[in-house]
Amino acid sequence: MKNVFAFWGCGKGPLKSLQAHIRILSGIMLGIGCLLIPLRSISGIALMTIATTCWCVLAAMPVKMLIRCAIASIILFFPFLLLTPWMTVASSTMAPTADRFAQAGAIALRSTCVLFIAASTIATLAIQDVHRGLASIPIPRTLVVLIVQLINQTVLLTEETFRIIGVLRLRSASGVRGIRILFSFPIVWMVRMLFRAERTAVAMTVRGYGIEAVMEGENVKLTIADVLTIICTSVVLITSVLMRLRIIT
Amino acid sequence: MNPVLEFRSVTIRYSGNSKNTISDVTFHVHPNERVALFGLNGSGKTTLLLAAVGLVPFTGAIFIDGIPVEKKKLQKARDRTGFLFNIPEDQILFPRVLDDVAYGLIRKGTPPKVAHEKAMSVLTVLGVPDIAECSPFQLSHGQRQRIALAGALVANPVVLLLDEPTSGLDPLGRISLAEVLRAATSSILIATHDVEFVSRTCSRFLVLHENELREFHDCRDAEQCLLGNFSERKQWEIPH
Repeated sequence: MKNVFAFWGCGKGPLKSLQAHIRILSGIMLGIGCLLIPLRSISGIALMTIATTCWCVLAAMPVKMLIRCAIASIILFFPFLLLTPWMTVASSTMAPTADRFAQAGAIALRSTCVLFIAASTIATLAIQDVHRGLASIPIPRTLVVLIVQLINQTVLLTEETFRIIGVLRLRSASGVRGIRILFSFPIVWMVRMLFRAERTAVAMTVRGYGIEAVMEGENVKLTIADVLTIICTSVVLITSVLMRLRIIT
Repeated sequence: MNPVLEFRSVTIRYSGNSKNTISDVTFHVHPNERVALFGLNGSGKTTLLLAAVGLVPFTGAIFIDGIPVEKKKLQKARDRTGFLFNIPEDQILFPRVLDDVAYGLIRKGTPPKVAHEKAMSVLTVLGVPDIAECSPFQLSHGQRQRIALAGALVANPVVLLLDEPTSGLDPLGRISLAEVLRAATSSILIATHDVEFVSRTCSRFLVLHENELREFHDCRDAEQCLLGNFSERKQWEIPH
């Protein structure tokens, strides 16, 4: 069951030595930057791909994880290219087909970059660092409680889902019977999740889980690497904003 | 000596059920006393524990450390209780073991540093100090069970309510858990099927039999009562 969490903290790059909140903040800034960068110009595309590549290299995710990310992005985002014939033509500088292709490609590229940045950020964070990292970022405590619980419960539900899949695999026979068991999966899953949610709610009540659950942010001393990272990612974010506002091209 | 946990004529019936899950149950647990609660599957052991912390509606009265388990004083009563659920994953709420164990203290206003030190000492007592920095999700069921128990023990509650504490523990784990519970200063009510474990741990034994409670001072008598239940029933037949 351990491979469910294999993604968290699997990176072996220099980013892992940074403070947890710096990793989270930098990842968020890069992600937002990638969402804002206009991809009409070569400089925009170059900035986005370079920033994403640098972040991935510094995170040093295992190759296996990189391949998984690539497959996920192909499955999730590249079908956007199928929308090419229906895209609205906005530019007069390119041929209509090329323009449509560029628009669909931009969506796919942008989404892929954000996915890689998110995955690399997760790869730099061990799951036990998330709470500490979030607590050190100046965001509302309610939000921290929500995010921590969201991650916690997602991990538990994933674990439970894998367990159900394992049981179904074990019990399913070949042929028609196997298909019948496959159809029962959503029902079994839903019922199990509902019961788990109920039990967790009861446990939270008994333990008095609330806003106090957020740990105090630690006053940690930032290293030069921390400062450099935050400066670089801020530069990417600011540049992307300026490019979006057409102040620079 | 005033009891720290007291049930007075408690009856529990879930909505939609025509039969009571528990009928007119009266018992108490004294300070530093360790009591076992036996019963067949579905006899209402977990329900009884949940009622003690006000999570199941009941008629009658329940007191924890003299505080009535009722809407107005519920939190006060719960603050004096440590609870171990039978599925430990349900009560682990933090992605780092040390944070989860220390939470009970932090919630009550203990400074985080002190809380973490205390949590570490409880983990050491339970024989798992090396997992303090781990994520609970990387650990086995038995280790999670210990984390959940550590979370219940850390605040030194007046009453400890344990639901199947030995499930998923290896024999060594059971022995060390028995030692930990014997050394604990809290009063303990253990709902379990593990006769051997409670014979090492508890001094009084309650058996939930057909919605009612019977009390024994010898573990074997309590077991006989359960087995009597079994022999009264129709012999099981495995279909061919």
